[in-house]
Amino acid sequence: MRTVLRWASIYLLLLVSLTGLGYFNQQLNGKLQAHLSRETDLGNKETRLLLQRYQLVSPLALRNWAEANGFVPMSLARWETRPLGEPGPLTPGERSTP
Amino acid sequence: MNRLGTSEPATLHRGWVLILAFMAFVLGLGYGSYVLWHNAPSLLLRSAPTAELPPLRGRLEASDGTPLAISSKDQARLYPLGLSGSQLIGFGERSTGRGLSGLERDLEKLLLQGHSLRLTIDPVVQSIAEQALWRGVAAARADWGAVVVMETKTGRLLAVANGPQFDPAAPRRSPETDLSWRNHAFMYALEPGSTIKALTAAVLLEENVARLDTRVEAPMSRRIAGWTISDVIRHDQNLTLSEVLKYSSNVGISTLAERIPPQRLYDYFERMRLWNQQVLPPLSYYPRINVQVASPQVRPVTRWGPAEYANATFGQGFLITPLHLTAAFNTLANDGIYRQPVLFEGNASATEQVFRPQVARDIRRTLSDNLTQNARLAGYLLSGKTGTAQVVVDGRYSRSVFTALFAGFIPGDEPRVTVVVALFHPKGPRFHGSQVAAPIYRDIAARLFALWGVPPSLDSSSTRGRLDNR
Repeated sequence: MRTVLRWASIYLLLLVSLTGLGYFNQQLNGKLQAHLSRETDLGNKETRLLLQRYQLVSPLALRNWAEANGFVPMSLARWETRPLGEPGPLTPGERSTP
Repeated sequence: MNRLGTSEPATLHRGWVLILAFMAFVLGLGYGSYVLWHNAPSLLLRSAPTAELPPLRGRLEASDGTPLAISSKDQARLYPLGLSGSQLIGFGERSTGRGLSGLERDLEKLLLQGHSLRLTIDPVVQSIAEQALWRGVAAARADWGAVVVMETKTGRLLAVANGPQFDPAAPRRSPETDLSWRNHAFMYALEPGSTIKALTAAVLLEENVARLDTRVEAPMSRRIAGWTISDVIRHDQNLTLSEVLKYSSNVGISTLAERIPPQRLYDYFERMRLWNQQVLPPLSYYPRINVQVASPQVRPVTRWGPAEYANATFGQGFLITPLHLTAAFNTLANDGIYRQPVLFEGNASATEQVFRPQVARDIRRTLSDNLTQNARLAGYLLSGKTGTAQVVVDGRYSRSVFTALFAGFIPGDEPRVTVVVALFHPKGPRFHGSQVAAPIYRDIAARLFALWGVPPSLDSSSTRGRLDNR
């Protein structure tokens, strides 16, 4: 009988340790799943931001923005010649400084 | 008392106890191991699931590394530049990613294996071409339009623009009725019309059968083999070759071209790959992977009668894509050397001397001198040729459907790029190349000069900074 008890206690001890380890692993697994899910979310967010970035700064978007804000290509601007060092006419709102 | 009728207590043999305990232990351990295995977070215990996934579909990049088509980790296909270059890049099935059009379809084998490719497309030049084209297509109420910008010295395609706009992320409409998805620049063969006159004139100079000041009798119309050839712009009855180009005289160019046999012109056009479907070098020979370009359509020269030959001298009676026209026209920009266009960085571009350098320069100069007003840009020298080609509808040349074209160089004297603009079926009172295609070319030129930082040249005789070449 003592032998049975001895073996039973060893068995119970191992079973409890195993259950504890299993529980710990389940917790770890849960955390891993949460991290994986977060990684997927961040990946999606990264993709979304990448697209947004290129939509905002793509050459086409910049050209449209520049045009909407009154920028004119250098080649279509008004040009004038002036001797070197001679100041140009004042633009409206500009003040002369000594 | 036990069942045997004795008073001895029941005992279990020690061996049985050990066996039972061992079995219970093994079963418990087995169960525990099973639970552990299936909850194990460690990748060492389980095979990595990612190892079985196919490689991420390859990327397509612009020449500066800007991504044009990329795949996210979950294999979704993304087009960061959105509308820009969308017809050239193409698109694939939303579920599987399999390429359905454009480069996504043509390069399916390479992309599937995870190979990434870098195009010669410059995103800024592409946006310049698209902005000008989309505006022009809307203004002319054209069915569609295409612009090709090719770097003169290298043959690199800097822009392949198509209009109207196509959004690869938007719900798709019927591909039969809505053609905005198609890369017209590569996939639609059209009659190039009068733009070809510049090449015919170059052939005449190269063959020493005419000079720019050679005169020809050019009434407003003439009959050839039962067909009437007419001119559109009023002009004198007697024109020089230079004036033939200025007034875009069909009668003048076809009359002058009679000084050489049809085979000769055909051969020159062949040397400029006008009849060759493989205008772009293949990406791989085994297996053969190349970008699809519509096949040119031309009758064998043995079946060219006088009328067919006359038509060919001013760009009617055969079909080529805007890409073919760009590469051929670039021969004039590149001092007579034909250079094969390339779409991918690292691709080798074949070359062939077709005209003497002086011939190419003379044609450029006369095109510049006679440039249509709508293509002129104050302060800069531009050069090019307009074209308005009739389109065959139901087996006959239509009186209402035209293709408006402009083929030119930027700048006009020492070109850095060759530009071809094509608008299909512009509607309304303005439908000529000089009216609807030339302004698009000018827009592109203005923005390219600004991009390159080239200031306008000012008239030195004027103190008020008057711009040259007004």
